[in-house]
Formats: sequence, C-alpha cells, structure tokens
Amino acid sequence: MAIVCNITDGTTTIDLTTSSGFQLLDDYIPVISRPTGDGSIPPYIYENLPCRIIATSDNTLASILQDFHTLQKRADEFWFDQLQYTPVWFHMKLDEESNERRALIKSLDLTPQINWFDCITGTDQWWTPVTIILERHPYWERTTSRGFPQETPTAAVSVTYDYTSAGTVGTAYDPAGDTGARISAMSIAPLLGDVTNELGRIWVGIRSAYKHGTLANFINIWECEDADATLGTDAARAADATASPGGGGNTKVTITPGTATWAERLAITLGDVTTDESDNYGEFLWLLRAKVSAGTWEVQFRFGHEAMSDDDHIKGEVIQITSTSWNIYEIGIQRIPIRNLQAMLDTNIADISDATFQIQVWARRTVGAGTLDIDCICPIPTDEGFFSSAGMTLNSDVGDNDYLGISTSPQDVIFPFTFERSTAPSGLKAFPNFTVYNFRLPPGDGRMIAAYARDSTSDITDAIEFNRSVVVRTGAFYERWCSLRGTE
Amino acid sequence: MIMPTLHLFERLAQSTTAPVMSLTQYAFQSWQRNTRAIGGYWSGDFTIGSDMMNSAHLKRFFNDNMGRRVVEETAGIVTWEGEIVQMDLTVNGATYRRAMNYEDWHNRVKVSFTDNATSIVTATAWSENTGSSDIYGESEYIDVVNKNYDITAAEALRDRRLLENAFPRPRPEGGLEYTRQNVAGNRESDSLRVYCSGYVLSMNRRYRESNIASAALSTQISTLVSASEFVTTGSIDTNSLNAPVECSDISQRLWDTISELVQVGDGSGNRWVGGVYSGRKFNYKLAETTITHYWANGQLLDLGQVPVIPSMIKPDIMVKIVEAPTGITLSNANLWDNPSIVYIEEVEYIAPASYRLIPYSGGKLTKD
Repeated sequence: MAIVCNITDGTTTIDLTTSSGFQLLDDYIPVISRPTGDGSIPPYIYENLPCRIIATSDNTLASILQDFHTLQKRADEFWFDQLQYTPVWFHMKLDEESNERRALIKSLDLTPQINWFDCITGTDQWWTPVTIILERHPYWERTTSRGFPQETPTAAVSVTYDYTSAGTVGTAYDPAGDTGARISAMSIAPLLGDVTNELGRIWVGIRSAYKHGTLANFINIWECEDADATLGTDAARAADATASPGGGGNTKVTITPGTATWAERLAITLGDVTTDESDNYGEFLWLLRAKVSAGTWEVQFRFGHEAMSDDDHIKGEVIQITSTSWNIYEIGIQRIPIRNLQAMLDTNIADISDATFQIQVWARRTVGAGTLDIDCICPIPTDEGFFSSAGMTLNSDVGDNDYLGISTSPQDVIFPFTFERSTAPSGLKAFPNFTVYNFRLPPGDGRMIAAYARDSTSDITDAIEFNRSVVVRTGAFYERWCSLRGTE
Repeated sequence: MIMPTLHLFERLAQSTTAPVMSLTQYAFQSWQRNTRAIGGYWSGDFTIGSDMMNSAHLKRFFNDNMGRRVVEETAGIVTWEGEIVQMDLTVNGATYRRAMNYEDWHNRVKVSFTDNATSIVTATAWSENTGSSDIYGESEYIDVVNKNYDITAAEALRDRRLLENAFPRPRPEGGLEYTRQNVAGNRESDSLRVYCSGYVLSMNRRYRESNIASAALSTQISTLVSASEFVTTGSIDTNSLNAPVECSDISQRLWDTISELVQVGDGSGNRWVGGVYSGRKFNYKLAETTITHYWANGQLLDLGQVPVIPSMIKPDIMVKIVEAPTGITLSNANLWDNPSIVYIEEVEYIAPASYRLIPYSGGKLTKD
C-alpha cells in the first residue's frame, strides 16, 4: 500500500507526496469533522497543509504555482458557475489504509512562508515553504460509487424498497460509513410495460435499522377497516374492489351522515395494527387515502392515547376532500410515541402503553349530501431522510417508460428531474415540484418507504420500479466518513 | 427533526402550478417569515449574497421574479405561501428597488371627482392595463381628487396614472450617488434582498364599492373573500352574529373590511380568527380557548411533550409556560389571565430551526 495525498480535478493534479513540486510536511495535523445529530451537513472545514515546493528554478516554481492556480480557479468556479461541472477533490489514503477517499474542495489558498526574493538571492530555491489553506467538504467519500439494486415491489398504496438487498438486479450490501451516504443517482418509474400505470406523486422516507430496530416489523399501511379499529359516528365497513387490500380484503370505511358536523369517525391504535410497537417509533408524514361520493368533506387526524379525552388529543391539519375518485391526502406530521421518550422509558416505568397510541379520524361534511370513504392511513418516515414530488405525469408503455430521477451534486444539492421515454420526443420532461430533507442513506441496514399516486387520483393496481438498471448507471451512492475509511 | 424547503413558482395570474426554481440552496439560511392569527401567512424575507449567486444571476433574479409565488413546504405540506412584493438589489454600491405596493403600482384605475358642472361626486369608469394585470394580477386604485374636474380631465388623470404606474418598475433608492466608497474595490458586496407577503394582503388590491345588507358574519366574510382574485374560501365556520358591510360612501379594500369583521368576534363575546393559508384558502374559526401546547426548556412542546417542528407552528394556540411561577385564573377572568398561560397570535419562523411566539399581550417566547 502507499500514501495518497493529492489535489486534482482529473486533468491537473498536485501530488503532495512526490519529490518535486508540492510536498506535504510532517507537521500536518488533519481536521476532523463530526456527524450531526439532525443529519444535516456540518460547515465546511479549513485545513492548513504545511508544504514545501521543490523546484529547480524560478521558472519551474512558476509552472508549479500555475498548476495550483488552475485548480484554485476551477474550485472557485465550481461554486459560482454550474456550467463548470468538474469539481476539485482532495484525495487521501494513509500508508496502510486499504481504501482511498476524497473530499470536495470549495476553495484553495496559498501562503508563502518566506520572501519569494530569497529564492533569487541565493537561498536554496528548491525548498520553498508554503501553506496551502484548503476549504473542503466536512466528510470524505468513496472515490467510486456503489450501485442500487433494481426492485419492483408488489403494487400497493405504500411499498418498501430494500436498497440493501440484491433485488432483481444488484448486489446485497449495507451502506458503510460514519454518516449518510450521498445519493448521486436513483430512479423511480411506473411499472415497465404496463400502459395503465401512471406515476404523478410520490413520498419517500428513509428508515434505518440503526435508529429504528427491526425494519421488517414496520407497518407502512394501517387499514381503516382493520377488524380491531373502532368505528365512530355513522361509520361502517364496506367491500370495495378499488380499496386497499388488507386483513379484510378490499375494504373501506364509509361515513354516511346522520351527523354531518364534526365527529369522530374512526379510532385506530398502534396495538390494532402490530404487536411490535417500538419498531414503529419515528416521526411521520401521515397520508390518508380517501374519496367522497359528492360534496365537500373536511378531515382531521387527532393523535393521542385511548384513555385521553378528545380535547387532550393533538389536533392535526384540517384538509378538504372534494374528489369522487380515490386520492391521497397529506394529513399532518406526528411522532410515535407522543411522550418524552428519553424521560419515560420502559426500563423505568412499568406501564408503558405504546399499543394504545391512537389516531382518531374526525370529519364533517361542509357542502352537499355525499358520503366519505376512507381506505387506509400510510405513515412515511420523515426523521431520517425524506423526498416528495408532485405533478410528474409519468407514463409507461410496452417499450421504455418515463421515470423520476433524483441526483445529488458533490455539494449536496439535490436535483430531481423527470425523463420522457415513452413518446417522442424523448428527453428531459420536467423539473418537478419537490420537497427534500437529508435524503441520504444512513449507515447499515435500511429501507425506503414509499407511497405514490397518479397526479390527482390513486389506483391500487399501479406499481413502481426502483432503479431499473438501464436507466441508472452503475454509480449510484457514495458512502462518507468523518476521518478514515479503512477497509470499508 | 425535518426541515422545510423553499420553492419559487410562476405568478398566479399566469399559472397556478408551474415551478420556476428551488430557492432552498440560495435563500434558506436567511429565510424568515411570520404568520398571524388574523391574516394567516403574513410576510417573509430572505437575502441572496454574492457568495451564493453571481452578479449576473442576481440581476436576472431581480428582473424576472417580481410577483412570483414563494412556497415553503415541510415534508410536502405547505407551511407558508406568498408572493414576492419587493426586491432591493445592490450592485456596484447602488441599491435599486422594485415593489408591488398598490400606492406605487396599479393597473386598474378610476378617478372619483366632483363634477364642476353639477357639483355631484361621481367617478370615471375603470380603466385597466391588461398587459400588466395578465402578468401580475389586478391592482386597483381609486384616485380621489378634491378639485372640481370635468369628465375629460378626470379621465385624462386616470389614464396618466395608469400609464405611469401600471408596472412595478425599478427605482434607485436614495438616488444615484457617487462617493469614493462606491468606487470598485471599496463597495459593499452585491446582494439581493427579497420581501414576500402572504396572499391575504393581495386582497387589498381590490375594493368593495357597494354595501351588503346585514347578514351572518361568516356569510359576509365568504362573500368578500369570493371577490378577491387569488384567495378562495376554505374552512369557514358559522358565526351567526349579523353585521352589515358599508362601502358605498367610501370604497374599502377587501382585506381591510374582512379584517374588521373578523375582529368583531361573535355574539357570545368570543374571539374569532381568520387568515389565508395553504392553497390560498381563507379559513375562519373560533379562536382557541383551551391549552394546546407547553413551553418548557426554552421550546414549544405539543400535548405529548414532544418538540413541535418549528416550521409547523401556527398562531392561535394557547401555551402553558411550564416553568412560570404558579398562577391561578381568578374568577371571571380569561384563561390567559393566568400568568403561566399565553395566547399566541403571531409566530415568526427563522430558518433553519428558530422561532418567536408573540403573545396577544406583547412580549415573546423565543427559541434560537
């Protein structure tokens, strides 16, 4: 093995280990960043690299410095001009460290440590001490990327994508690193070859085993018609072939006033859907699949525990439902459990009752005389990484199909796009309306939990594909480290 | 805890959906905005410095984005929405301003005057510059003149005002100044300061010119909201207290009128609140009267003692300050007369995770 220490843009390279040009001195002390508690990227850090420039003449010295200035200019341009898309990297590997790593350089400065003119007057011009002041990304990353597996989950309102598995095409692998891996490219598409499929909106949350225990126990769909859920005012279970499958088959809950004013229509607890309560902890965006037969309904989720009074429940947003087609609505953001988890631990308090965590669905009809149908509730994780997009209108056909691409620059700027493949002209289709938060892969085992729908309706027969290999090149994510990469 | 993102969309007069660009990387570190119990999404601002965007792009932003829609979303839920109403661009040491306040910018004008022949107060017809209103939406202005005019002079005044003020053009603030400071090398850095306002204030770009007979306040408010260009009725609870709307003598701007009606409350003496929220929907309801949140350890907690996501905090909440000195609510007093309970009527959010809660009585609760 050998030491690696260089600054390069792929064309111009300054090697700090050679016997000519820049040479890193022994008193270099590295700066180490730390992973953040909220998953955000810490500030860029400054490193002082004490060096000497070894040159056989003033003209050689000038040539060496010109290479340095080329990299300085390119590093600066990369931040101010998107047309300059070649980054400058700082590469490093210790002598016995197995794998090389790199960090994005934001700026380079050079501070001579002696009078330049000493070089001319006879002082040994071969050993010109300088300090390189380097501003870099706080994390080191792989020099080459890892790939995502291709996978097509069974059609459902919400699906789980295991990005650590082999999928249908790929290699099983848990992301390594000290902090979230940068997703340089991934794609999500409506099912290839099914012309009836359409993808208009998607919500994707990342959930890791490191933070949330046994991933297989996470319940991503709470069926409203669950046999253990408590029906409220004017609510009844009803078969509906277009409703989400669950324990009761394709079933929904229909609210038929009776009472058109605000009333509790359904109560469903965590214990109704699972016995693995702690594996369902987290912060979630709650989605509701619903429709009306006519008129306008308002719906509100209230979060609490079964023994709480209605007033003590935490009230979510009030949303309006007017569509007579199934659709997915964003109801609010709320955690499970709703207590101070650090203070009230089950190791201290015997009567922890996470099973009684409850969602009440309240609703009223404000216009017209129709009924309200509620199908299922889908929690999408928002506490580790989140992405959502709307208005995409992606179609599939027997040949290639449209897809949503998510790419992230080395500076962690996420750029989603949609691509038209089905119909000529083929090419970039649109830049979708998106929301993103810390969309990086935590180290270790993890999943993406995704709910999706058409532009303004929801069809349970629609399916989506993750990372179809013909779309995304082999490079897809870059793991990151705070200091050394070692064998990872 | 999830953080919001910031996006720029096309002006509503041109499109209700078309995206323009993501603002998060440029503006999020300086983004701050507030929401009021009476008004809803109220104002916001951010600054883009030359370290985030070069001068050419700053100028292009200044030229292209007046009136465009700014949306803050948290996990896809709209948590603030408004339009760009003012921009201050500083380049080469000089500052230029474009603004959309209706005093300086109006594309639909009429003149109210006293006819010098009949001494009767009358008005010209409305005249509109549709080139401007098709882009930015309508901005109405009634010029009330106190001199005796005839119809010809009044129409000429109307047309001149329309010609001069139909578009939000840039104006150098404080004139064009030469000082040694402004010479290249000494100038302050180029920057762009962007000010936004919630669509509630866009309702003031239209007038109500005629009376409405006495009716339930919720009905009156719905009628007035429906007359606005960009705002529609959302969740409107019934308030059966009756009141007239009188605007025929002096035309009133829509939001000013609605605001007065909201502040009336109801026949039982309760406060009501109303404002424009997600999707430009006007919501109107009884103000909160029970404790909804706690304030402890310098932050806002929900009833489950879980910290509230800063960008999700709305006004019209009742907060119990857990660490306040013990207090009691005296008989015949309001719940919030208890010194440990405050009613929050305004929330300021400062990206990425700070906020100020402004109680009804003034003062503030701050989380940095």
